[in-house]
Parts: sequence; C-alpha cells; structure tokens
Amino acid sequence: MRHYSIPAAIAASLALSVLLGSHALAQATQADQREWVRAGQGGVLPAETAFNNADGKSGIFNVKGAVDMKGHPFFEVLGTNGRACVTCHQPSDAMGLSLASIRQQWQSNGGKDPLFAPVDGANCPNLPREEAKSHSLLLNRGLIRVGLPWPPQPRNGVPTEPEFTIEVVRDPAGCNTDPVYGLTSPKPTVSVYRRPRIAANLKFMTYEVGPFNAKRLAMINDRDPFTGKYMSMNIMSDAREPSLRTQAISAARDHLQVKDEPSADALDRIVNFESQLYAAQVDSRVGGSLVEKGGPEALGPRNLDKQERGLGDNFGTPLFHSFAMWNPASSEARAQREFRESVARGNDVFFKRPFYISDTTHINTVGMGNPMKRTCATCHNSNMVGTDLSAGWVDVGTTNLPYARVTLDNPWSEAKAELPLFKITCNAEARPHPFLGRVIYTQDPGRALISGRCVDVGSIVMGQFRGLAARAPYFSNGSAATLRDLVDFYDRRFNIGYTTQEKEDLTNFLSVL
Amino acid sequence: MSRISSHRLFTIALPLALLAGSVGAAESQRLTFVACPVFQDTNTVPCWLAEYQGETYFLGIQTDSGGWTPPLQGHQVLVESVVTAQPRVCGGIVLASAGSVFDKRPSGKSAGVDLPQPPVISTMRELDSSCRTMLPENPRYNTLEPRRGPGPGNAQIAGLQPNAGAPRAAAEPLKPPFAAKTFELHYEFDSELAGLTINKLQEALKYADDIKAKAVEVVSHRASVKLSNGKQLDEIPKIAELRAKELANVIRMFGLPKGTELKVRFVADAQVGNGIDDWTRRRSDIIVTP
Ligand code: HEC
Ligand code: HEC
Repeated sequence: MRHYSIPAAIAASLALSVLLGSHALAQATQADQREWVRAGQGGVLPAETAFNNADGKSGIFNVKGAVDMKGHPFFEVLGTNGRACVTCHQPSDAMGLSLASIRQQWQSNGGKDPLFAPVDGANCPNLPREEAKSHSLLLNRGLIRVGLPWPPQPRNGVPTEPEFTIEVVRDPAGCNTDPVYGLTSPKPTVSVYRRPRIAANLKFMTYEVGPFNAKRLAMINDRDPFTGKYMSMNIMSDAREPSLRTQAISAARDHLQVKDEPSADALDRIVNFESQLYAAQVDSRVGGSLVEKGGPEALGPRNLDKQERGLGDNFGTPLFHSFAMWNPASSEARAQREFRESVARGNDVFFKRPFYISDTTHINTVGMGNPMKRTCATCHNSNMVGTDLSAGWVDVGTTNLPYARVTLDNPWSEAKAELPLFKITCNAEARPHPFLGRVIYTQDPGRALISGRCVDVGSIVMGQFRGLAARAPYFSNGSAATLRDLVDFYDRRFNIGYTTQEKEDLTNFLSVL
Repeated sequence: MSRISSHRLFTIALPLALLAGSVGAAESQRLTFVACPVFQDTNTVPCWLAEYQGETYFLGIQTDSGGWTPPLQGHQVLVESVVTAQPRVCGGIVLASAGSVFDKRPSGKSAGVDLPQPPVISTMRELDSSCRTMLPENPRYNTLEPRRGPGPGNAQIAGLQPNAGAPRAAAEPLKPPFAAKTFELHYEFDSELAGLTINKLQEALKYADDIKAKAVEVVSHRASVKLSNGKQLDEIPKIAELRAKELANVIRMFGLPKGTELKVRFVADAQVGNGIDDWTRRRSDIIVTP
C-alpha cells in the first residue's frame, strides 16, 4: 500500500473530479482497486499470482519462476524520470495499463507520479505537470504520447519517401502545432496518442519469419539488426520495432529517458523476462474459476505457455479451441452456469457468425474482395491471442474518419474533441487509400507514419486479446471504454445486426480471455 | 506414369491444343470491359457479377486469399475474359480466364459443375463511389458449393512456422556454366504491386544468390488494353516507372550478393493492346546475368 499525504490526495482527486466528473471518479476508486508496482520498489514478483479487476481476476505465470524485482532492469528506474518498464506494463493489468490504475495513481500522487512524466505522460511535454488537464488524454482515455519523426526514417537501410503530406486540422492537445515539439519544429514530429500494449505472451506476437511478407505481397519484412533475422512485424501499433530488443532500446529512450542505451545484459534480462511471462484472465466474478481442470483449453496463462503459435481460422485448430464443456455447463449455481454458457456461445459468435467485412485495407484488399462475408476470426486468426498471424496492420476504422469515434464540439456540453485530427493528402501518383482516396482525415495515420504509404493510412497492428478485462479501455486510441463498447463499434462499423443476446455473449467471451 | 500412357496423353492433348490455338474464331468470345462489380450474396459465399451492355456476367466467387482476387466495391473493375458456354451462375453468363497466373484449382462448384478459372480482373486505381451494388441472397442462386465457405476453413492451412517463406537452402549448389535467366512478374492494370506473381521475384533473387550473379536488371513495362468496344485503355503514364521503383526498393531491402549490380529501367510508352493477352504486357522482367 502506498502512503501519501492527505492534502495532496485531496487536491489531486479534486482536480480529477473536475476533469472527469465525479461519477467516473467513484468508479475508479471503488470497483476496481489495483495493486500498483512502483518503479524500483524491490520485492519479489511470484511465479504465479492473480490480481483483482472489475470482471474477476487476471493472472500472470512466469515459466522461469519468481523474479527478484530488486536490480531487475524491467522494474528498476533506468532513466531520469523515475519510471521503469513496469510503470506502464503492470502485472495487475495483464502487463498492460488500465485506466483504473492510471486514475488511481493520479489520485494517490497527482502529477508528480513518474507515470505522469511530461515527456509522454502529458498531452505535450511543455504543459504544467501538476494540472490534471495537462494529462487529459492519459486520465480520460489511457493514452501515452508517441512522438514519431516526420518524414519517416529509412527502413532496412532504404530511404522512405513519403507519398503524402500531413496537415494538422485540429490539435486540442497542442503538441502537433507546438513550435518546439510539433510538425514544424526543428525536429519535425507527429504526436499520436496510443494505449500501452501488453508485455507478455510475446512468443505469439514476435518471431522469425521469411523475408517476404505473406500478406503485403510486394514487401520485405524488417530484420532484427541484432540477429539479422526477418521478423513477424506484429508488435507496436505500427510495427515500427522489429524485435523485443530494439523495442526495449527505444522504450528506454522514449519512455524512461535514459542517458545511455541499456547494457547488453540489461537488454537480455528485459527480453528474457518478457518472453517468460504469460498473462490472462483466471477468474470471472460470475463465471467462477477459468482455470479448473477439464475447463476450456484457451483460458489462463498456463495454457498460453503450453500452446504454440498457429493459424486458428479453421475448424481443425480453432484459435480459442473448444468451450463445449461449458455448453451446457454443469455448475451448481445458476448464474455461473448461465455465464459459462454465454461465453461458449460468444466464442461461436466470434468464430462462426459471418457478416459483411467491408472497406478494410489489408484485409479486403488481400484477395478476398470487398465486401467479404466472413467472421471476426478472419482478421483475428492467430492461435490463443487473436491477432493476425501475418503482419497485422489493418485499417478497420478505429482512427480514420468516417468510422473513428469523434466528439463533436457543441454549445450544449463540456465534452470536447481530445485527439488530434490530421489531414493526409496523397501525391497524385501515389496509389490511393483503397477506400478513402487521396484525402484522408485521421486521428492516427498508424503504419503510414513508418511506411510513408498512402494505402497504410489508419492501418493499426492488432493487439492481443488476452487479459482484456484487466486493461480497459480498448483499441490503440482508447476509443472503446468497455468491451461492450468494442462490440458495439463492430456492430455499427459492419452493420452486423447482432441481437442483444449475441452482444452480451461476445462481451462475456472477451472478458474471460 | 508409364511411357505408353504419357504418349497417349500427348496424342490426345495435341488436337486439343490445336483447337485452342485456332481460337482466332474464339476472338469473338473474348470479352474485355470495365464496369462496376456487383455483389450477389448466396446461402454460402457471395458471387461477383458485372453488367456489360445490358447483360449480366459471372466473374467468380469469394475464395481464400491468394487464389483469385475478387473485385473491390468502391472501384470499377477491368475484366479480361473468355465467354464460356457453362450454365449461368448467380444469374450471370460465366466468364473465364483468358490464361492467367491464378490458382488453378476450381474455387468450387455450381449445381455440381466445377467453376472455371476466373477471368483476369483488375481493380481500377481510383475510387468510384457509384460501384456499391449489393444484392441480397436469392434462393435461385443457392447452388454454390465453394471450396471455402463464409467462415473458418476446413482444416489447418500451413501456419507461419519460423522461416516459412524463406528461400530454402538449396539441396545442391548449382554448378557453372550458368545461363542468364528472365523472370516475369505480372500486374493488375494500373498497379505497381506485383501481387500474385511476387514468387517470381523470390525465384529471381534466389537464382541471383545461387550463381552470385554479375547483374540483376529490372525492366518494367506499361501496357494498354484493347476493350471489346474497340477503345484502347492506357495505363497511367508513370506506371512503368512506379513498377521499376517499387521492385528496386524491394530488391534493395532484400539485399543482393556482394558484387551483384542492380540495374533498373522502364519503358514508359504503352504497348498497344490486342484484346487477347494484354495482361501479359503489364509486366516487369527481372534479368539475372551470370
Ligand atoms: C510511459 C509508458 C510506457 C513505458 C514506461 C514503457 N512502455 Fe512499453 N509500451 C507503451 C506504449 C504506449 C506502447 C504502444 C506503442 C505504440 O503502439 O506505438 C508500448 C508497447 C510495448 C510493447 C509492444 C507489445 C505489443 O504486442 O505490441 C512492448 C514489448 C513493450 N512496450 C515493452 C516495454 C519495455 C521493455 C519497457 C521498458 C524498457 C517499456 N515498454 C516501457 C508504453 C510504455
Ligand atoms: C477487418 C479486420 C477485422 C475484423 C473483421 C475484426 N477486427 Fe477486431 N481488430 C482489427 C484491428 C485492425 C484492430 C486494431 C485496432 C486498434 O487497436 O485501433 C482490432 C482490435 C481488436 C481487439 C483488441 C483491442 C485492444 O485494445 O487491443 C479486439 C478485442 C477485437 N478487435 C475484437 C473483434 C471482434 C469481437 C470482432 C468481430 C465482431 C472483430 N474484432 C472483427 C481488425 C478486425
């Protein structure tokens, strides 16, 4: 438990309630109290342990046993801002970072908590640290600022010529138009705001592949400069980091503000730790234990360790295996039985219920036609984690208009647009975005900020489906506050016409992963 | 296969080939046009149709990725096809390939008859928001038995194992003298992405590596299509250059053996179309010289 001086806490929670409204505050304090691991606190992270969340408990499992956090580079302050990797990748949040935890830290420590370091824990580094509104994107939507150089860096040693220009249409956070940090600054930077992704179950995410990208046919996969191997390009929202090692180096530089790159030994220990760790929900408030003997093979961190990577969009090896033992379920209590049956149906909705998938780049465009009649599992096809087995950046509409969620300014409410809005204008000779053409409005150009390609605007790498209950909100830009919101997004986006029962089943299913 | 049967196969195949060769007659059966693709759902997978001069044509069905590439709504589609005498599918006269690089397996059956290899189609580069016709399932068209249905596949298709797609280590190193080899990549109309023939690039790069080639030369082309209405449709002026640039970038990222020179050029003038095999001229050649 942390100790904090009462006045600071009151001041902080007052500021927060002004920002969020008292309702959200009450939610954050009661239902969802999290155990926070502070950078450099020491102690031992057990080999297997569970943490409360609103839907039950999430668990972690370290195949190499307990970890002494003292002196461990994932947990120690490596840089100048008091943070560690664990600051944004919390064991209680399935190695991601929940809005519940973020708000809890603000209430406890206000802006001086290292999480709120101005570099990327504020809307822009030049804002006053102690004010809640400087951190509105983090406090309201769980978003960290990701500043990317524009134009893009060379890739695999080959210069990347951007096919489009970027203008800042709206900049509520002020960073993209800032003379020091913005697009026209001496070091031109595009700031996008993204959710931390999960630092566990990574054997399913990043691995060696062949040189040719299975999906984006005329493309060579990035290589890990340390091993020379071609990599799967399935980590980070934009796949800009080829391997866990390069990722750790850039994370230390950008998030921890280290003076010198971590030593080879520190990098080894970080990567080993991330590679040994599995995280998933282990207990459901209504459905009971998710890891009983004879229970579903997809659930719990130990099953993630047992399973291997593979394509699961088929009846031979379905990615989330079978929930048959829960349909019908044989539990004593009615609520538990009904919940488990709902989860089993939800898996069927996810896996088998077709709808018209339309206007998505890198899915409709890779040989199946637009629209195509398929299921959630067509895009989310990778065994146990539900990402795309072949490099998974796709424009499903989370960040590009017209599908992205936007708050429209209006005279009747305080709610204001929070995210930046960019106007992308593609060169006349560029291959246009296949569904949006040559002028695109987007909150986050995603992969296009790395590739410079017009077709990639708004394409985001899918995040894994594990420990979802522990780490709301969802999507790279935090635009779905709950799992039900996420399901509703799809229902609208693809005009699916789910029944209330189907929505509930799908939501329950996602909540136990 | 025994000698006798292969010989017999040959003698049977010969007249057939002659027949196919004499398709000057079949030129009238070629159909090349640009139209909005129409989506027609069925009780299994959707059909893709297009209307041309008041008639409905069947292009193909939704399949797995990697075989045929069905059209995209929001764009017009260029169809380069041969008209078949097969029974209508989804209400459309069945069009087939005029010879293409696509998957040779039938994508399924309709009323018990194998669907032909679908026509060569190209999604036009620019958007056309009028191309949005979606027709709901119609019991009359519920005759399809697709190879893959609208949900998950039937069995595990090869997953991505480590190194999947990597050029395999050659069983035996090639021995000199080596010959110069040309590898052909084909494109959709107005596209610089050599989608379905990109394996030719892999083969070219592997050969360059095996023989430690002196040079790898990319020559990209631009073509026209002769439409059935007699008009010539030109690819965009820059397309040959874009094709060359795209390939050169991919080759640079892949890397060539030390000492192998990369030469890149393109032919900007559009080659005139004949309405028969125009898709073969939307091309890049990769010439590997020892
Ligand atoms: C200030 C918060 C913060 C800190 C501190 C932080 N990260 Fe992250 N992490 C993020 C964000 C945000 C992303 C997603 C970035 C994106 O998508 O562009 C991310 C992504 C990742 C991913 C990618 C996972 C996936 O599946 O895509 C890994 C692995 C990771 N971080 C590891 C680390 C390590 C190792 C450290 C310490 C060296 C670290 N992080 C420190 C915020 C943080
Ligand atoms: C056309 C491909 C496509 C289809 C179909 C699709 N998704 Fe997604 N999904 C994506 C992409 C792309 C992302 C990443 C978007 C982002 O993070 O902004 C994503 C992300 C997710 C996530 C992870 C959220 C997070 O915070 O990491 C979940 C859960 C999810 N989708 C569930 C579903 C469900 C349920 C369905 C079926 C109703 C579905 N998806 C259908 C492409 C798809």
